[in-house]
Amino acid sequence: MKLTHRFPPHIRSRENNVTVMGDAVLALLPLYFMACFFYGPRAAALGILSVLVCFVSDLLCQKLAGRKIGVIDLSPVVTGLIIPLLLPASIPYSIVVVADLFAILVIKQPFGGLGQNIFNPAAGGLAFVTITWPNLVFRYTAPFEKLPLFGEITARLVASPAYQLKMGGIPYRDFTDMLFGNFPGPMGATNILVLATCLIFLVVRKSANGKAALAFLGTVTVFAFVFPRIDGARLQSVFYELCSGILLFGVVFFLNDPATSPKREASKIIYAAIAGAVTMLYRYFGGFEEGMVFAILLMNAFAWGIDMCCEQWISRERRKRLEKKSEKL
Amino acid sequence: MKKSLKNYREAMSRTRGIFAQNPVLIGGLALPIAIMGTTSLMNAVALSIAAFATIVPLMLVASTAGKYIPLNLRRTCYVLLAAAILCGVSYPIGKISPGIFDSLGIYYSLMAVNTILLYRTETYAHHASPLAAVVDGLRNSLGFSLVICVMAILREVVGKGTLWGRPVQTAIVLPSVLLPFFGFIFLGMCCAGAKGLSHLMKSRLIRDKLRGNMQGE
Amino acid sequence: MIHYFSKGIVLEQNKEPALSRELAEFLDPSMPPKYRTGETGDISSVGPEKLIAIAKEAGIVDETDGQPLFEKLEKARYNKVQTLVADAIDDEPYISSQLCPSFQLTDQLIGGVELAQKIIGAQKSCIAIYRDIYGVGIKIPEKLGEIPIERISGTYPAEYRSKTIYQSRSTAVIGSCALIHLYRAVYEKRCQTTCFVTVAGDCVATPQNLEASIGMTVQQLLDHCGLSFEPKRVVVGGSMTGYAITDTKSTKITPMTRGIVAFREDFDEMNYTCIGCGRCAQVCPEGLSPYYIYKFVTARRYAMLRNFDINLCIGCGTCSYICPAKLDISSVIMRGKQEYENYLQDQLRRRQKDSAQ
Repeated sequence: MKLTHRFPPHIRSRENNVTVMGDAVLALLPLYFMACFFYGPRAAALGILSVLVCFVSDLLCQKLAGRKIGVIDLSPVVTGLIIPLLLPASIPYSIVVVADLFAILVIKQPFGGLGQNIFNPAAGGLAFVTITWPNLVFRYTAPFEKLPLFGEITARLVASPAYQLKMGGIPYRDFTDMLFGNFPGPMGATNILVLATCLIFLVVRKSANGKAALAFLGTVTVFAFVFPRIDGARLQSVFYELCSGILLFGVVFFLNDPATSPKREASKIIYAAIAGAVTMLYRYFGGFEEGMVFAILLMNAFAWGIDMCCEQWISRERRKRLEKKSEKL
Repeated sequence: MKKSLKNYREAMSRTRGIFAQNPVLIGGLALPIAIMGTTSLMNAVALSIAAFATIVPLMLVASTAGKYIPLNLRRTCYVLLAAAILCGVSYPIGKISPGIFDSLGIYYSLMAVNTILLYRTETYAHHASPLAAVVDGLRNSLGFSLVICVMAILREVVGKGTLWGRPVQTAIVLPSVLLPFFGFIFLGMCCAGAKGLSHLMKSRLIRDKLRGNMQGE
Repeated sequence: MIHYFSKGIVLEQNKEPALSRELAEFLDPSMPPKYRTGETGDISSVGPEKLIAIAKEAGIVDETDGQPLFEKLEKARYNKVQTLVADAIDDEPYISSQLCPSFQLTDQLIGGVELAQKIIGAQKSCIAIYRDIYGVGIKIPEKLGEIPIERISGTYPAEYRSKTIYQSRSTAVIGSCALIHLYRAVYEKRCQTTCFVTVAGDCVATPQNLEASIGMTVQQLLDHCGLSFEPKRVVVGGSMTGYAITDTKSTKITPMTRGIVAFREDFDEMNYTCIGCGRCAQVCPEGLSPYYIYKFVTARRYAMLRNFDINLCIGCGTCSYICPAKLDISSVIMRGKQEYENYLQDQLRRRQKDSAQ
């Protein structure tokens, strides 16, 4: 009998890296389905191009760094799927490619690749594209308009409710329209109900932390309630703040990104609460109508620090508790 | 292959300050000027002239008269002298383009407190002969100018689509390349590239040496 | 869902069919049973000190921690404990070497508990059994005889948790197999020459609990139960905390071997890297951060481990179990404990040398 020696434990759970990333991919596919429903096949074409560019550049970088590629990992696929969902459907293909290349070649691979990156690659790519071409990124088409697959876009471009809120106006939209995504906005971030379902799916699969999501949404609600942008109508203001822009999308996919968020549960909750406050500040006082990507990048820089502080505090409490217990004995 | 190792060492020591110990890429000196002064080629050339004009005379002054100035006044003297030199050099620099001082902003005046100047005068010039100090100053300024000009060419072509004010054919124009954040990222990539190149050369040399040892010279 | 707010994981126990099968004897014919000398007569008139002497002569070893039983009884008697807990918690998957004898040799266990209670002078006694065992063929009753059964709830690792629950001057925890051997030593005058071992795994043809002689090799036990496939890994001990052995013919069983598990599949080498998901930090039962400790130990940055309480790690293996990248986190942390100790000694020595100069 030829027996191998392994370290304990000798049974392992059935999850592995591929299934964890596969959960995120599964959560993104319904959003693509809805985007194709509203905006035609151009959404799917953007997604496929983005995934191809991300995958190939990631593979090239890993070969350059001399790493052995054991199994195909799905993390550049997740980045590639997220980036077009936060851009309008009328965006030219070259901009998506630039965002992808920036995300993988500047934000992800130079810091160490999978699991070692400090900043969220999709958020970084989007931030770069937002700064460079703000007029292209924030002009959306209305849903159910025919968009050609290649060539010039001749459809009418309108502003989203986030822009109207920033200008001090009231976006007059039907309640059900807002929930089902029937309003101009980023391709994947308008479908509120589908996003809520994806959040519940990821919480059940333990890829997302429900308490952190609640902390974030709670902070945003309190902010919007106490300082409403629509004068006089607090509940309406809360509703529009939660549904406009990429807030809910950021909660589901950016806040729970494995490599860039803190690891302890207590730190995740603090991180989410502060991120909520920073996002609202960017919305109120920032230069662009939606500053969530910048808020996420800023909080990513502090994730390690929050973790260390929480660790120090928790270990101090634990040592005090153990001392008291040993005194009692 | 002892000969190639010796050649490498000699080449490195001869180009100390340009390739070997580049003040910006390896030493990490004068970083804000390398990030903000490289938005166009005219700015870069102006700053290189300013660098040559301040560093070289001051290395001479530091190696000859630096010992006689008391410690707490030494740096202030150098900075005042550099500021005076900059006032003088501003006349030929103004000839490059009419709006050059507007686009340079504060970074022209910051050359007076250039960290290359402060670092090299304190650590090298005091115990070196005047000739060696001047040569060192020339080398460091040359290294600094090379890095700045290369970065400026790339950033201007990609960011504005012009070169020295004249438009150039480019495939894509990314205006955000001129913002400070991209300067930081690009400088980091240049540092990584320089380290990678030197690592590559050293590993090639070691591989050749081992191969030579195994074959039995 | 009940365990949403507590730390730790719920493991699939897989204790059938070994649990319901009858306890079989597998004795080495070359090792005859030993009998103790001593007086016969009415046991109820024998005093506690004599009973402890009987336990010492019979050489009974407690299977949970390896201490001789007479030492434990003496210490419990000296501390005047009030409650005696018979430990029949089998919280590791595949292992049922304490549960099966408890339900099949019930009167021996009850007798042993009563004897131990009499020796220690405790007021109450109970039997502790793990709560989260689903899908077993037997129903776990409320009482065994007159002794109540206390269900230890919660996630894995329950055995360690029970030790901390019961860790006080007025409770003593003794393994149930040791109590069965105590009963036999007192009433049937038999010394401990056997121990209870579970042989299980997906390669074994008839997984069952065996009462095997101490000193038999693992190969003999595996042959007795029959191997339907060629195993790739054989584990001695628990499936979460045991040792993988490579030579079955020379490894012998001891009273602390609770089980032998033979697995058909080996882990594939997938070369996964850590993705920083943080699942290890979420499930650690002690509340540590295995992610950071693993990172610092592999990078040898021991100075950063100051706040991480690496000495509190109990080696349960929960972090390695749940890691999606299949890293050996808990064994690296165990190794890191020793290296951190060396590092601290080094620092101390250096500081003393500096201050002496």
